[in-house]
Amino acid sequence: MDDQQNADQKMGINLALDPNLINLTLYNHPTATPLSGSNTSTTEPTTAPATTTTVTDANALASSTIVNNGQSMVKNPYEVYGQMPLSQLIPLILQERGQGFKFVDLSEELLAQEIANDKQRTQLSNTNPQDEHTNDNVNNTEVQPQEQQQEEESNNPDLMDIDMENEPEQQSQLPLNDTSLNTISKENQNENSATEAVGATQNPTLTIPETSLTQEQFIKIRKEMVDNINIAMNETSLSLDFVSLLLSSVRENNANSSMSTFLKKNVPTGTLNSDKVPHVPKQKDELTQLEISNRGWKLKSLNDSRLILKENYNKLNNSLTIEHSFWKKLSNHINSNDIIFKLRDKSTGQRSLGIKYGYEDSGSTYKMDRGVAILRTNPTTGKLELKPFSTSKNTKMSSSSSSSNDTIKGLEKFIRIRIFTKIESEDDYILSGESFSDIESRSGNKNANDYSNNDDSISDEDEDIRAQIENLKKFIIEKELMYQLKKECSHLLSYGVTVENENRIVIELPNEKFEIELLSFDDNSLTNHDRDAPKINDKRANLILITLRMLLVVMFKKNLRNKLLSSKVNKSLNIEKEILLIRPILGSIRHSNYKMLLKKIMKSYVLDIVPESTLEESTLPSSTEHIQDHGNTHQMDRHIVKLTKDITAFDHILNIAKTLFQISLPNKGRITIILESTNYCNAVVNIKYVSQDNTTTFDSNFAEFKEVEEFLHFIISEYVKERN
Amino acid sequence: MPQPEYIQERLQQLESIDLTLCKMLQEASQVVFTFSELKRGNYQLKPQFQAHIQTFYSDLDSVNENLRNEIKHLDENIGTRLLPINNVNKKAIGLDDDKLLEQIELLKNVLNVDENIDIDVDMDASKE
Repeated sequence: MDDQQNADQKMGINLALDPNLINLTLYNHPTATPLSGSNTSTTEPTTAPATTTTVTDANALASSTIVNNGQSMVKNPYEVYGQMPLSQLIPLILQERGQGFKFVDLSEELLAQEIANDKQRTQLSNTNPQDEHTNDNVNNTEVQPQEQQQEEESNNPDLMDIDMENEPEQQSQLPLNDTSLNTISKENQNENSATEAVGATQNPTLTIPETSLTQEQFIKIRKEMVDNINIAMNETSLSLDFVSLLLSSVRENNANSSMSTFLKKNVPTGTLNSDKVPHVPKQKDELTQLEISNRGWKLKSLNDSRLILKENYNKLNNSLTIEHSFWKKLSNHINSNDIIFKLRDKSTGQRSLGIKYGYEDSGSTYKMDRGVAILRTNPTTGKLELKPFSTSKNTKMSSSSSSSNDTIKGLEKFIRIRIFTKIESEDDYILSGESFSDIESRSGNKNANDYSNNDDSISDEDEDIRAQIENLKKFIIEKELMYQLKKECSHLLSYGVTVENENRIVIELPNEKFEIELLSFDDNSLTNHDRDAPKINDKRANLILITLRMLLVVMFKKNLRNKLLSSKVNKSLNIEKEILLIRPILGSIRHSNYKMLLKKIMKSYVLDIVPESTLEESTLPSSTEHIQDHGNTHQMDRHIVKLTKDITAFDHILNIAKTLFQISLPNKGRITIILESTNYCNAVVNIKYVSQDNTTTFDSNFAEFKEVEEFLHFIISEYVKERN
Repeated sequence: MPQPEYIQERLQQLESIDLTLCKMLQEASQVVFTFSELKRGNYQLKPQFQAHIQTFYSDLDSVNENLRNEIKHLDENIGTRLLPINNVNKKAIGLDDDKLLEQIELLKNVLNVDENIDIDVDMDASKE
C-alpha cells in the first residue's frame, strides 16, 4: 500500500481507497454494469493506471477475504475501534482476553508474539491473504500502537461477527472518515463513483453474506447521510448568500462572485445593510424612573378597572330593581287566566312578554287586530303598561312616529248610538237619545294623574294593569262590533241602512234615525255637549248598544259551536247567515211597525165593518235550526250543550219574528193572518180564510200591504158581508 | 289575582340570584381596589383583600348552587304544574261569557237606572 500511495503521488492523484467502501458499494449497487467501471477508467486517462491498480488490488483483496472467512471482503479494525474512546475500548479488550486479565499486563511483546502465532496459523491455510493482513497490520501499527490490539481482535472470527453487527452505527461516520483521510475532498465523489463502479464489476460473482448489514438498512442509512449532507450544503449556501448580500452594499464585485444566481436575479444588490447599534446600559435613575412610571400605569389601570366594575355594578343594580319590580307586578297582577307568551318587541327588538286580550280563542273571527299587547315597563314613569302589539303596517308606522300614548288613543274607540226623532212639521231630526259609554278613557286620566300627583298614582297602579287589560278588551270588542256591523250593512241598503263613512252607520226608519258611530275619546261631539240632561230615548239607545254587543257574543258562541261540530274551520263569516247584529234589532222594530200597520188595516177593513168580531194576537215560534239541535243535545259534548243553551237564550231576538192574528167572525168562520219577516226586514203576510164549516177558502201570501188591504176588503165584502 | 305562592317563591329566588350576581361585580371591584392598595404598599389591607376574594368565591358558589336548584325546579315542574309561561298554546277561552255577563250587568244597570227615572217621572206626575 505504501508503494501504491507513493506511486499515486507521483502521478499527481491522491486516491485513498477505503476497503470498506468497496464493500459498501457492492451492496449498494448490485446491478451496476461492469461497463461503467471501465468507462470511468478510460475517460480519465491520467487517473486510469492508478485506478486500475487499485481495482486489481482491491479485487485481489476482496476475493481473498471472501475466500478466507466467507463473510466480509475486508475488515478494517481501525474503522471499528479507532473512533472508540479508551474508556470503552479497554473494557472490550479485557472482555476479549477473558477473566483475570489485567490491562497492565498487555505489552507489545505479548502482542507481537500473538501476531506471530497467528501468522503461522494462517500460513497453514492460505498464504495470500496473510500477506495482505500483514500489510495492513504494518500500516496500522505505524499509526497507533493500540491498533495492533484491535487488529488481533479483528482476526478472531467470532468477534468479526459482532463487529459486523456493530457496523451500522459506524457506517454513518464513514463519509467523514473518508474526507479526513483524503486530502482532496472534491475528488471524493469521483472516487466514490469509481469505486462504486469497481464494486459493481465484482457483483455477479459475489454471494452476499447473510450475517452482514441488510440492504434495506444500508439504503436507509445512506439516504440519511445524503440528506444530512444536503441540509448542511443548503445551510452553508444560504449563509453564504446572506453574507454576500450583506457585503454587496460595500464591495459589490466581491459579493457578486459569491452570490447565487437566484439571489442575483431576484434581489437587487446592495439592498441589505447592517449597522452596529451600540448598547447603552440604562442609568440607575433612568431605570427607577421607568420602574415608577410602569408602576404608575399599573396602578392607574387597576383603579380604572375598579371604577368600571363599580359603574357596571351600579348600572346593573338599577336595571335589576326595575326588572324585579316588573316581575313582582307581573306576579301580583297577572293570573293564570291571562294568556302570556314570549314575543319580541318590534320597536325595541327586545324579548318581552305578550299578553293576549283578544277574543280570537273565544269565537271571534276578527283579523284586523289580533288582540295582543306587550307587557312592558314605561321608561319614563316606571310603571307597568300594556302596549298593543300589531303586525299590521299602519300601527307600526304610527308607533314609530309618535309616542305610545297616541297609538293607544288611536285604539281607544267606543261605539255610541244616537237616536234622532223626526219632527213632522219641520221635516228635521232632533237628538232624542244617546247611549253612554261604560269605558273610561284610561290614557287621558292616567296622563292627568302623572302630571299632577305622581306619588299617589303608584298606589293605584295595582289596579292599573288589570284596568288596562279590561279596557283593551272592551276596545277590541267595540272595534270588531263596528267591523261586523259594516259588513252586515252592505246587505241592508234597501232597508234604509247606509254606511256613511268608515266609522258611522245610519239606520233610517219612517220617523226615526239611528246613528251608530265609532268614536275616539277626544272626539269633538263628546266634549261639546258633555252630559246633557237625560233624554227620552237614552234608554233605548243604551239597550240597542247592549243588545248589539250581546249579539256579537252570540256570534262568537255560534262560531265556537261550529268549530267544535265540524273540523273544517270557516275563516270568513257568511254575512247572510252568520252576522246577525242589526237585522234582529231592525227586524223587530220593523216588525212592530208592520204589526201596527196591519192592525190598522184590520181595524178599518174587518173589525170596524164586522160587528162583534174579535182579534187575537200571538207570536209564533219561527222554525230555525236551534229547534233541530234540541233533539240530540244529550249525545253531545257538554261544551256544545252549554253553547247551544247560551245561544237559545237569545232565540227570542234572533229568530225571525212571526205574529199570528186571528180574527174570529161570529158565525162566519175566521180569518188567520200571519205576519212574517223572512229575512228580518221584509214582511210577508199570509191570509187564510176559514169558513164556518172548517173549509179553507183562501190561503195566499202577500208582500205588499196595499194588496192585503184589497184582499181583506174582498173577503169581507164577498163572503162575510154577503151572508150577513 | 296574584300568582300562586310557589311561583312567587321561585321569582323571589331568581331575584336573589340576580342580586348576588350583581354583588359579585361589586366584590370584584373591591378586590381590584384592595389589590391596587396592596401594590401601593398599603399592606394592612391584605386581610381585607383575602376576605373580598373569599366572599367573591363564596358568592359564586352559592349562585351556582341556587341557579342549579332553580333549573332543577323548572325541570321538575315542566309538565306537572301549570306554569305561567309555557309552551302549551293556551287559549283565551271564556272571554265570551265574561263579556256577556258584563253586558247583562250593564243591562241591569240601564234598566234599573231607567226605572228610577221612570219612578221619578211618576212621582213628578203624581205631585202635579
